[in-house]
Parts: sequence; structure tokens; C-alpha cells
Amino acid sequence: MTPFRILTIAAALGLTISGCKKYDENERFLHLRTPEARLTGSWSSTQIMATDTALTTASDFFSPDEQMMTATFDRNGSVTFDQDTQLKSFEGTWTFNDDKSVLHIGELSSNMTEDSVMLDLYWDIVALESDNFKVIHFREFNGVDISSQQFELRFSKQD
Amino acid sequence: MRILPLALALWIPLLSAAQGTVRGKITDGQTGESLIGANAFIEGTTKGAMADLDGDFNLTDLAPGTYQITGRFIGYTPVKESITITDNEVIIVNFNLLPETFVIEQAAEVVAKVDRTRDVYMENIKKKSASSIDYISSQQIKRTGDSNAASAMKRISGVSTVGNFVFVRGLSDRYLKTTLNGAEIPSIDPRRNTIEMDLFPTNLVDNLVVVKTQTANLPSDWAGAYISVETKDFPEDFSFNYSSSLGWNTNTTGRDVISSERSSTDWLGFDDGSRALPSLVDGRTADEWPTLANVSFGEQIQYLIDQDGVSNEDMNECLLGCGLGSLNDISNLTDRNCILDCLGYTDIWGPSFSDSLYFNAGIPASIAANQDLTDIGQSFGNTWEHVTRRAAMDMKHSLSFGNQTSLFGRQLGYIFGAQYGRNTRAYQDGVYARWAAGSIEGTDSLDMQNYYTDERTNETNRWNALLNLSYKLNEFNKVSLMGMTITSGTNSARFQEGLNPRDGDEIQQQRTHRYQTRNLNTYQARGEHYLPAHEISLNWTVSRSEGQMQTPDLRTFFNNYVDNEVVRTDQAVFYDEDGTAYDGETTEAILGEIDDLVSDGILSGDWATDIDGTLATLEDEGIEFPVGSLSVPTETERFYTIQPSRYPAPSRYWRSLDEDKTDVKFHASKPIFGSTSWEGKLSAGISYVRTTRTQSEDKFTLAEQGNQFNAVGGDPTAYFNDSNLVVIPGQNYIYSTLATDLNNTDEGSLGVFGAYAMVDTKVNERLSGNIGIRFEKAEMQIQTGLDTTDLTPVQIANTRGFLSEDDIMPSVNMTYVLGNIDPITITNLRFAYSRTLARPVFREKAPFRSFDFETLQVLKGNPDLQQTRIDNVDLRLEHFPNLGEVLSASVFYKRFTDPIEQNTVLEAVNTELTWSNLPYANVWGLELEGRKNFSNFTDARFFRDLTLSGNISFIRSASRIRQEELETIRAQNPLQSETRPLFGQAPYILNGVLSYNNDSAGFNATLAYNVQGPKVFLVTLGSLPNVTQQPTPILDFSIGKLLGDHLRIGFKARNLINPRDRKTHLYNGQLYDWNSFTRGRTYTLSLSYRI
Repeated sequence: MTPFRILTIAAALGLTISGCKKYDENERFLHLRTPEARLTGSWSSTQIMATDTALTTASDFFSPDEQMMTATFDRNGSVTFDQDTQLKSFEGTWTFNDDKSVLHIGELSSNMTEDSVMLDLYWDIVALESDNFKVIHFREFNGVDISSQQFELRFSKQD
Repeated sequence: MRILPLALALWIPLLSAAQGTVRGKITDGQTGESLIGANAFIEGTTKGAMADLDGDFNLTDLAPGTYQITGRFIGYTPVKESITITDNEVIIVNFNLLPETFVIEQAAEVVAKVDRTRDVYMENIKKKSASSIDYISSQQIKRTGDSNAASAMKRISGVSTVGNFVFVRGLSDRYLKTTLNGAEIPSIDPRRNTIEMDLFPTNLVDNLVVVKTQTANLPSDWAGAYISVETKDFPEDFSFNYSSSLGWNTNTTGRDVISSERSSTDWLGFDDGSRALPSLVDGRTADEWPTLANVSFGEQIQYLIDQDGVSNEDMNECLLGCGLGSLNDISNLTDRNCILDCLGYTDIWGPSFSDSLYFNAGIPASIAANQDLTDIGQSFGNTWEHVTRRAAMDMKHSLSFGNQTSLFGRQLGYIFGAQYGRNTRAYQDGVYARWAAGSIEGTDSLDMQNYYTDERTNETNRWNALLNLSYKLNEFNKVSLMGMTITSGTNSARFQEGLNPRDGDEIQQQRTHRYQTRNLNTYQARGEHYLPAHEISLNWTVSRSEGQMQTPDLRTFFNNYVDNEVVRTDQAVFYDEDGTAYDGETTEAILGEIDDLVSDGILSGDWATDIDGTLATLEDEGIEFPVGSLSVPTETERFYTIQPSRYPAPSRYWRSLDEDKTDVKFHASKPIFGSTSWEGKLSAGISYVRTTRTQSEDKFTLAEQGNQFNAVGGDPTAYFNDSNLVVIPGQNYIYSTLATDLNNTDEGSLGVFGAYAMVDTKVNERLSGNIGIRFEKAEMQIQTGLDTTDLTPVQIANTRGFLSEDDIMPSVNMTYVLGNIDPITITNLRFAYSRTLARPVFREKAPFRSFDFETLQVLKGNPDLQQTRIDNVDLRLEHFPNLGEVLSASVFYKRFTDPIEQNTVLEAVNTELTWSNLPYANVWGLELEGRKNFSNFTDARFFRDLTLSGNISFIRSASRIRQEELETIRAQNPLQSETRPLFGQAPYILNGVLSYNNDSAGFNATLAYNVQGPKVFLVTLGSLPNVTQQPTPILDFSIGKLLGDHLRIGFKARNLINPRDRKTHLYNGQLYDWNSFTRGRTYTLSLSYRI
């Protein structure tokens, strides 16, 4: 291996590692797949828990009983949430922020005609592994009001 | 100033030298190391000399003639040179000896290629050094004609200079360290960590070395580069340089610029005392400060007796008449007029009634009672308004010389240098603005808080001198003494004017004045010793630096004004129904009727603003003179105010800072592995650096009673006229308040003990390295001058800052030679790991909170600030294709734990700036460097003299934002990243230098370009984007030509692109200026005489 090749690999590895976001509960140092690739697919919620009751405005997204749901993130940037028992679903788009520490779910609308508002959800990513996805829902904007009530959501990958 | 005669005395003996001398250095041609104990001798004679601990030899008293001189050392192939000596001549002969095992063909090739100059020595040092170093040698400096170290530094790979300060790998100077002969010297600029490089004339400088990877023998508090300025100790030959230069700046020279009053000694870099704290207030405590005295009725009556000619008899009679037994009963008086009538005074309030008690006693008694306060106010100089001056040309004069002579039969080397210069820098096109941002859902642009035009002038006078004496006790023992003094004074004036929409729609004006004088005296003693019996090298340094900075009478004056449209009803013109204007008498009558209507509530008081309504009312009311039409002229009237509820009242500060540093270092080294195939050297040493600091600040504000400022038409000089400073309760006046905050007076110390052990080893001809470990124990404390007697434990903690750290820091530097082993063409692969530190400086850790002239905001220290630990990893591939040429590529990674950044205070109501630690930061970089001579491509003379060097670095940095701050930001901007770029770190740096050096023609020209990417300048709150220093590309050009043997003329053009220096917020793709201005282009013409 030539010295210049060593340096090139070192530089590339350095930039790659520094480009990775280490939101990993298992403290894994290196992920081979990008966060976008890891997120794509269907996830079932295993836990939804309100962590902060000092809310300013109630959530338009979460039901009072914090319903379980299935989330499907498509590679093309669209996302669907199906609430398991209420036959209610949401469709919207998803993007990461610059350092991929926040998942922004935008233009989120419900299939229920009485819910006419478009929502923006902001999720702080705690873990995003191949089968474990955990976030803190920390902000919600319905076009008028901002809800800063926090929820902790944990998902597992559907087969 | 006693230095000059001494230096001249030392210079004189050389004039009497009558015999030839041969001097030089004997080094290992492969490693560049000095060959202590090697010999140089004249063939066929008994004359010879041993190389000393620097490898230097000195052969004196050689009669004119041609000689063969041989350099030799055990185990090395001797080298013979032919020299011819004439009277009074010093010949320089350097020997680069190659080991006898080196094959003859290779040796011959080396001898053919090697240009026997000091360059080779340094080149080999670089190639063989355990750590990554770059340098510029004295020989290179001599060729390029750079007059000072700042200019010369630019030619070193990876180094860029902004002004006279150095940046390496784009890291801010927090992560750089500059030493002079190995000893730490503080910057005379408290905002800087490293000293200005233009203080060192290049003919006093031996080498400028930039170390990029740590070895254990160096102090640990750096991460980007360790810069070593090494002065010459034994100049090879007599050198003399005198140069004068004149310069002009396109923004400044010849223009009328704002300025402040000067003192008679400003040109020497210090104040003559005219800005000194008035003796009336110097040392006064809050308890001793006079309070406002209101004079009672009884005291006024007493004043009539004492000062206004009322007799005791008359007074007693009147007192009796009013039912009082004596003047002591005056407080029982229910009817003041009784006694006043009796004495012949009225009780009318107001200064213009000459028979009133107020006029005859109230005012003079109040003046007398408040005389102390009046005297204090009047003791301050009335220097609030800027003066305008035509800016003069820059100038600089520099003198330096050095040589070696004999004292008691031993070599004495001396160098002396002195410089004096002045310059003026101004800008008139500045912008100073502050912005606010809201929630991203409701905001697509920043809200303006204020937006001012900004005008500023700095007039700087500076002089410095340096003397170094070195004495060889014998070949193995050398001692040196050095003294350096620097004095600098800068007179600054700044004026801003503009909108302040946060506080209203009025225009705000800000006048600030500052004079800052700094003095730094450094004394050094150094010794180098070699114990040949044990092969032990010892060297030690004792250095003491004493720095003072005085900021006498820093003044801030803020005010508002608004332009009101004033309706001049007294100039109203009334017309009858035929359109004819009424005469003056009739107009008076109509105005009288209008006044009546206003009094009756039929017309409003501002009737002149509603002409049609007023005409209709007049017609309805049927006034005596019918009015068909009317016109009322308006005029603009500017109304001035000072509003201390929005900004500080006029304030004056006196600041003083003393910072002293004592640095003691001791190193020892000895060869090891003597009986094995390995070669090596064990080094160990200890050091102790103690820094002490004393800072004080006195602050005074001047508050007004009434609005005098409008009365004088917004003229600060008229406003602070002595007559307005007479304190008379009940009248308008200006009075002084002691506003000193003892939090801003502090004392502190930092002691750093260091010890290290290090092994340099050469495992085989390809692998060599350096492994070491360094221990440092740092104790820092700083304490305000606040009386803590009645404070709570939490409050007491806020008055103190501590730092107590023990750090063990390993360092490993390995070099592996790739490809052919050749002393000229060589390829190295280097790996380095080290742990280093960046400690907070006193200014950052002191619990002070005060006005900052640069940002015009409050700057606050942070006693809780912690030191930064940095783990550095470097991998570097370097190829030396030819002498003086290099190609290298490096990747580096730095992990910062607790990095420090400047940010805004979260809890402050108004914007305050402070420093804080972040959890961690990562920095990755790729650095490419190259220096190429064009002689390989063509035989054309022009291209042989042309050299292109440059480096480019791409750096990615990420600092983890504290969780508390992240949540605050995400409350407004939920998409905020968890990280931001490391404070002060540019994402890319590009340096390019194209130089042409024609030695035979004595001509050189250099074109240098530098640009650094945007870097965080200030971390701001919430969703307001951080303030970023935008790239300011710099293009400099210089040209020089020797006229004859000694005279050199030079021309320099700096900052040819002259970009706008912008510190900005970036929001929604738009840049918002936080502060911006242009520096102007600077041209300098110089003439120097050099021997």
C-alpha cells in the first residue's frame, strides 16, 4: 500500500467518522449505513410516554391516551403514521436537520376531515439503530400554536 | 536607555580587528545535529579549533593568505575546503560531515548538491526532527530581505499572518504559544495569547521555528503550534542594519479623521499625566464620596448673617418679632414670610429674583454646601468631544547590529536592535448593528435592535529595544543574557450614530475615547553546558517578564436626538377673504382671539396643524377679522436627550493592569543505547512558570439634573462646561458619581510546575521516534477586591476563581523513512500523538464585569471556566524532492475536552459577553503543503529564481452544545444542530506565496495570498445565528532591490484586495452585519542600509 493511499484512506475515514452521528444507545462507534437508510421502513411503537406535563398547548398529534402507532418512513421522504385503534392516520414528509440530530416531520395532515391543520413535529433522536429507534418529541407546531409538551417514543422495526 | 551606550561600546572593538577569522558550524550531514568536539584546523599549521556545544568553531588571528581548512570528527569522513583570507575579514565555512559508513558515491553526490549554508542545517533538522516542524532560517530571511519576523513567518508552510499576529492551521491564537529563546513571554495585547511578531528585526533572529506536534520537553498549553523565536547569540560576522520606512493607508493617510486629545508624550507611547485620575478623586472610597446637600431654610437664614450683610441685631429683632427666641428655633417658624419681610427679602423661588431669599442665600449656600461635589466634577478634563485631525503618514525606524568579539580571551557575542514607529489606522465606513431573532415558524428575517454607522481611528506609537549578550566560558559552556523592552500607546476614538428601534425611533449617538499604553520588559539568563566525560548536555533558562497596561480616562458618551417638526404659530400669516395678508397688528389681534378660543376649549392647542378645521371654527365663531386662508410655517428642530435608562450615563474609567511572569526551565540530555545498534538520547527536565496579575478599575459617571444637553445644542464640550458642573439643588446641573465596582479590581496568580522525561531514539536507518511523558501541575486563583464580610457563601464564591489541575500528558512522535535513504531526497511518514492543554487566561476567569471598548458591550469573566484538554493525532507524509523543496500531506484529529468559547450571557437582560466551556469538540483536518522551485523545469534564469509555496487545509470541526443551551436554542429553532463549529476555527485555509529571488542582482519580489474560511466569532443566544467572521482574503505584494552592496530600497503593498471585514449573522441565506468595515490598502516605501 503506498503512503499516499494510506493518507487518503485515513483522510476519508476521518471525514466519514466525523460525518456520522453517534446517536446510539449501545455507544457503537461506527455505522456503515446512513441515518436515512436506517430510518427507512416500518416501525411499531413500543412505548409512548409523556415526560413533561408542563405543556403550553396540547398536542394535536398524540391522543389523550397516547395511542400506539405504526410509522412508515419512505425512502422518498414521505412518512405515514397509523394509529392502531382509532383508524386515524397522518401523512407527511420527513427530513433530518444538518447534523441529523433532529427529525423534522412536516406537512403532516390527518385523514380525519375535522382535523384540517398541518402539523410540524420535531423529534430529538436518542437512538437510531437497525432495530431500535428512540426519540424525544419536543415540539409541535400546528400553524398557530406551539406545543412544547415532551413525549418519549420508542419504536421497534417491523419485519 | 542605558542599553545603547553599552551596545556601542561593544561595537567599537571590532573596528580594531586586524587579522582574518574563519567561523562556521560542523554538523552531521544526515541528521543536522551539531557535532560537539569536532575539529576545524588549517592544514600545514598548528592552528585549529574545537566545535562548541552548538557545533560552532572560531579560528582567529589568521594572516592573509590561502589555506586549506579541514573539518573532521571521529567516525566521519573529513571534508577539506580552500579559503583565501585578506585583512580584517571573517570567512564563514560550514562543514556537513557524513559518517564514514556512508557510501562514497552517495557522499560525493551530497557534497555536490549541498549548498553549504545554514539552510542545510535547518533542512536536516526538519527532516530528522522527531516532531513535525517548519522553519525559516536566518539565511533565508537574509535572501528574502524581510525586515521583521512577522513578514518572514509568512514564508513558513501552514502559517498565515493577520496584521502582526500568526495563525497556524486556522486555529485561533488561544491554541498557539510563542516563546523567545524557549522562555514564555506574554503578549502586550491582553486580547492575544501570542506576541506580535514584528517586534523582532530579522537580523537579530537566528531561526523561526513552528512546531506542530508536541514533544514532552515543550510546555503543554498549546494545540495548534508552538512558535519559537530564537535570537542570534554569536553572529558569524558583523552585521548592521538601519532602515526607515514611510507608509500610507488609503483609508487614513491625508484624510481628516476623528481623534482624541493627545498628551505631550504620546509620541513616545505613554501618557504625560494629563489623562491621570484627578487627585481630588484618586483613592476616594464610596464612604468618602460627597453626597448631594440640600440647604435648609434655617441654613439660608444663617447664610444671610454670615455672607449677605444681615446684622445680628436685625436678625434678633426679626426673630423676636416672629415669636422666636433665637435662630435655633427657626424650624418652629410657621410663616416664613414673617421673618423674610422683616429682613427685606421675598420668598419667590427662582434665580432671577434679586431680592429673594433663594437668590441671595439659597443659591450661594447650596453652592457652598456642594462645593466638594462641584470641584470633583470640574476636576475631570472636558475632553468628551472628538477632535478632527489630518492623519499623518506611517513611519518606522529600525536600527540593529551584532557581532562577536573577544572578552578575557573568550568569545562574546552581542546583538542589539531598536525600533520606533507610529501609524494611524481609521475607517469611516463601518457598520455596527445588533439583531434579534424569534421562533423560526414566525420569522423569516432578523429584527433590527440597532444599526449605527461606525467611525474609528487608532493612532499608535511604539518603540522597542532588545540586547542579547552571549559569552563562551569555553567550548562546552555558554551563558547568555537578554533584555527586551516594548512600549506602545494607542489613542483611539470612535463615533457611532444611527437607529435604535428597540428603544424608540430616535437617533442614538455614541462617542468613545480610549488611550491604552502598554509596557513589557523581559529579562533572560540562559546557559548551555556540555559535560564531555559523561556526554551530558545541560541547559537552563531564567526569564522574567513584567508587563503593565494602563487605560487612563476611557470615556463613553451616549445620547439621543430626534428631529421634530415645530409649527411656528408666532409666524402665522392670516389672509382676508380676498387673499390679502393681514398686517402685523391685525395678526396679533387674530392670534389673541385664537388664544381665547383655545382657552375656552373651542379650538385645540395644536390648531395650526389643522388649517381647514381652524378656518371653519373661526368662521363659525365669527371673529372680528374674517380669515379666508392662513399659512403657518414649520421648521425642523433637533431635540437632544441623554437617557440613562437605555444606556449608560456618561462614564469615565481608569484601568490598570500589571502582569508579571517568571519562567525557570532546566533540561538535561544524555545519549543512551550506547552498546546496542539503537541510537538514542534521554532527556529530562523541570520547569516552573509563575504569573501574577493585579488589575484595578475606577469608574465615574456624570448624571444630569434637568436636560442641559438640549440647551447646549447637543455639544458635549458646552455640556460639560464648568458652569454646568456647579451643583445647585433645584437648578439644572451635572454631578459626578463614584461608580467603581470592586468586582473589577482583582489579584490573581497562576503557577505551573512541569517535569518531563523523553527518549529520542533511532531504531534503525528507517525508523526513529520520540516518546515522552510530561507532568504539569497548575494552580490558578483570582480574587476580586470586594469586601466579602457580609456576603453569602454563594456570593463569596462568585468573587473568586480557582483552577487546580494535575495532568499527565504522553507524547509519541514516530518517523519512518520510505523509499531510498538519501540525505537530500527523502520521504518521511510521520505519526504523532500527544495530549496538550489550553488554560483560561486571567481575563477570562476573573470575576469582573465591565465595559468593553471593542464590542461596546459589557464583558464578563467566568470564574468557573475550566482548562481545555486536547488529544492530538497527526499522520503526515512529507517528501523532500530537493533542497528547499517540500511536498507534504497531513491528516490530523484533535479532540477538545471542555473547549472555551466566547458567548453571550444566558441570564443577562441586556447583551453581555462572557466565556464558557463546552462539553467537547472534534476537529478533523487535511493539510497539503508544497514548496517548489521552478529550476527543474527550465534553465531560464527567471524560473530558477522563482519559488511557489503554498498550503491548503480543509478542517471540519464540531463542538457539542451544552444541553441547557441547546434547549434554549431549540425553543426557537428546533432544527438547531447539537454541534457547531469550534470557536475560532476556520473550515479552510489557503496560503500561497510566489517569490522571486535573484541573489546576484539583489532583487526579490513576493506575492502572498491568504484566505481563511468563515469562523465563529461570538456564540449568541436562542435562534439568533452565531456571529461569524467572514473570509477576508489578503493579497500582499513586496519588492526589494539592492543598490550597491549595502543600500536596499523596498516597496510593500498590503491588503491589495481590501475586502470588507465582516462579522455577521447568517439567517435565511442573508448576511446581517454585526460589525463591518474596511481596513484600506497600505503602501510602504523603505530604505535600508545593511552591512
